[in-house]
Amino acid sequence: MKLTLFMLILLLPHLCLAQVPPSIQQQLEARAEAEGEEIQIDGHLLQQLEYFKKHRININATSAEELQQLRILTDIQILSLLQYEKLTGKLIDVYELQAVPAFDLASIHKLLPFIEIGEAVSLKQNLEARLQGEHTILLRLSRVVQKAKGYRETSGEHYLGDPDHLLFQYRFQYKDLLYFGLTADKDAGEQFFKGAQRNGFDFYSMHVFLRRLGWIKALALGDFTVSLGQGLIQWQAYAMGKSSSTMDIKRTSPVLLPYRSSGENNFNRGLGITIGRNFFEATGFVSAKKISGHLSDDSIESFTTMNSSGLFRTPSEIKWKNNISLFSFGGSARYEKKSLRLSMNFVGHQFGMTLDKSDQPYNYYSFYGKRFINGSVDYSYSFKNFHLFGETASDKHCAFASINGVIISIDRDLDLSFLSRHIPPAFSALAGQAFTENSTPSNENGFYAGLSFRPGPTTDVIANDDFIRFPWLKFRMNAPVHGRDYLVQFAYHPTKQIEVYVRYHFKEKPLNAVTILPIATPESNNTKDLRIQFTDQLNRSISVKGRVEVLWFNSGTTQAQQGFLLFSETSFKIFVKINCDLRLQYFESDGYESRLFAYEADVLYSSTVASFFDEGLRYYINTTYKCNKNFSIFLRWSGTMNQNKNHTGSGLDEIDGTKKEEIKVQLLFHF
Amino acid sequence: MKCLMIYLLFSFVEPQPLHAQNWSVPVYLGIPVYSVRQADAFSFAENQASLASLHHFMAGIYAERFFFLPEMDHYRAAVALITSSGNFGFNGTWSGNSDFAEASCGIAYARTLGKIDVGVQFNYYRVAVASYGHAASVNVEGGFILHFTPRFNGGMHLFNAAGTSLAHEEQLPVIASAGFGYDLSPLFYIGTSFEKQEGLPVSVRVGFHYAFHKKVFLRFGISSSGSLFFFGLGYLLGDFRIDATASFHPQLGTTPGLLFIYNHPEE
Repeated sequence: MKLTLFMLILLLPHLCLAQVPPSIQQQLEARAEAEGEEIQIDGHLLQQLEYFKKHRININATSAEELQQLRILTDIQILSLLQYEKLTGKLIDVYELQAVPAFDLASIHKLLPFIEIGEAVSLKQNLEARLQGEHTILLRLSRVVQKAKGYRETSGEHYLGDPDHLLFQYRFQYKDLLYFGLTADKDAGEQFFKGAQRNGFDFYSMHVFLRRLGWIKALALGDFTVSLGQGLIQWQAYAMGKSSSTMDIKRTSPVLLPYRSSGENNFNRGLGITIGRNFFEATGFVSAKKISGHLSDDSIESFTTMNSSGLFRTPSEIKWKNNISLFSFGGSARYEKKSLRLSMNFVGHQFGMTLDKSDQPYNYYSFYGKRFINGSVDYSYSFKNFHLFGETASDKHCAFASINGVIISIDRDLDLSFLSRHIPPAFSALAGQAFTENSTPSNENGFYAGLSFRPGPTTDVIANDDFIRFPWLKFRMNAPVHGRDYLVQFAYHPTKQIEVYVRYHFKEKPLNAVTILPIATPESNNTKDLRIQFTDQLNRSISVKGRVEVLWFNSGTTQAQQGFLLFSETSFKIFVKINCDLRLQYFESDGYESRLFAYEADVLYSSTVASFFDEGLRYYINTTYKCNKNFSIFLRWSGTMNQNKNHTGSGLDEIDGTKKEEIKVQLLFHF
Repeated sequence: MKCLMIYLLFSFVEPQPLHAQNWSVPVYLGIPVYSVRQADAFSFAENQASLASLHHFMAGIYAERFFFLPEMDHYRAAVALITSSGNFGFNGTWSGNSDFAEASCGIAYARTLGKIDVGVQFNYYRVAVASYGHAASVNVEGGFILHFTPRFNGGMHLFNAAGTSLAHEEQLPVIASAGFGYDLSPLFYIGTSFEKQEGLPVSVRVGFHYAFHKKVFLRFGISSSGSLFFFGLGYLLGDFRIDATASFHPQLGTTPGLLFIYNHPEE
């Protein structure tokens, strides 16, 4: 078994035909590193990318919102393209994209798989065509092969359900104009049609979404997301943080989007509508749903934390399920003419109980109470090769926060970006998600600078630097501190099929020292990370990818740790209808602080950024069998082996033995 | 075509941690791994895929004495056979003395698949300790090399991925490495590699090959493992090649080495 596995890497030098573009993979890894934990991606972004690969965007009849969803072009590029079409008329050929200002060859190359040149259609043709969209039914089953402790126990705290994770989705989509669908999800360990889950699945979601119906720009019924401004007060769409995409510092998304993920949080349930005419547009939404939260020890009228995991497997987790009501409302009024956009936004959230905060010094400014109100003003303006944007927001206590940035296209081969943020510790926004080091916009001042330079047709240089200050205490920081985060990346791509990049990332983030003193003070902790990655598309059906990464934590000190990760991945096609991805990875780290993250391809519409610490081998095999144009089967077998340990995981997820394996099966019908 | 070259090779000996097993390939032997021009009979010890870039029969022996200590001799032999169905390699090593000795022998196979070469090797490893007996195991290693351009190559290698053990549950380490090489010209080559042996810090090596005369070349480099500096000179004498090498460890001193390779002339 082990030998067979080992031989597979050597005999299969094939390449990964990635579902997700490499730039987005890097962004997702950067987000996982910033949050310090694994993330599962299963939602709108992946589905949209896959949809637009099959149903390409007509570049002559598209909109800014549609192009934004690809996450490939910057705002300057999108604006430049739309202005170019207004001036010169429709594009005749994709090669004409080279004439569009702000478009470089690399961006065009990334865009080509998702676009086509076509004729614009009338509104009547448009409405008729909407009903001829694509139906999709997805059924996914996954299970960890080895039995965890939570399934072996029969009394006390244990998992009440079986180890299967089951996902069912039905979706209908026509371009980005009409969506409707249903999602049902049951996590591993949750019951199914019994006990606390008599309705079957643990989580149900439904959405109906229309766009561009005359003066109704967007209409959302059911589950949807709302994203306003630069994320200071409300942002629920896909959000990027610092990464090697140095120009992606501006939050861009349509205000309303359908919610198509199986995640059980971060969405609204109700009604949202955007109407507009000429240069004005207004959005309003209302939402009423239940959330899960841990009640305070001394009161049944208040709660302390919200359950964001969506897991209800044990009696104690089920006790808190959907026990708190949340009513949200808000809106936005926007004026947009040529390259100027001005918006006024507001959101409000009302809990059914009071949100308490724990009595810790770092929680002094944390939000608490039943009602949260935020308002903001945001803008964006393009002047020649400058694109300015920003947002200034306030909460109900009149604490003001502000983010402002500029993206400058100095030349076709040189772009600069700058972003300044000032967010006092007293500012709070329940659903904010801005370009910050913290996961929520609060208690942070910073200045970010980024550069993207293409010295030649085969080389790219990317660099960014972020100076951060936390003016108040934080968890594990008992004093205001400064931090720094910079990255330099050099990429070499001699041909379109080959890319090699070297990346150096430095991060300094003070944390409380480990001490016997009653109060620990923050001391400097730094992380240095060196990564080299290559990708080679050998031919139309075979490609190879590899990475070697070394991380040093607090090198030269007594707390020094080192992490190492190396993987080789191949993808290939067999008999036209079968695609396989294989990865073999070795990792070793001295401890949790030197853990490393790596993006992993998964079955269609799903992927993971996994974290690795300790020591072991990681492998996976993804196989796709396209039976015919309507039906596909996806299989995944993955595992992690550690010969030096006799168990993996902890708590109820503890598994005896040296390995943990998972099997996943997915059926996909299109019609 | 015969050519006379004087090789004065100063072997590079990478200072190994002074414990029982000596797993890393001597760093001098690993310099030309990711070069299609400079690869030789010993290159496949570092990455078996390098065997695929050889075009004629080669055989060689190599010897070094760690820090001038007779108890720490190391010997290595290698043979590369070229066939139309891929290339085969055989190598053997012996280290130590009568009180403590390690030996291994391996059979390698590699072939080119166009832009990529792959190789695998099966090893038999044995360690013998006086008065304690001996233990043995079989392990597997393998790797691949990608030819990004005719001059720029990169690859990866994994040793003992299966985590085999000796008797008494002593586990042999897993060693993972990745490297890149660039043939600037037929005369100059630069290569770098990262190696991670289980339980030890990452070792980074950079090596250079410079043929400043048609019969003489110089190789040198550094390794972060033990802050080692190494260099050597090689001389071509007909179909033979003679290398003399040396490496310098800041605390433990100098390690000399000698290498002989026979290149069967191309027909």
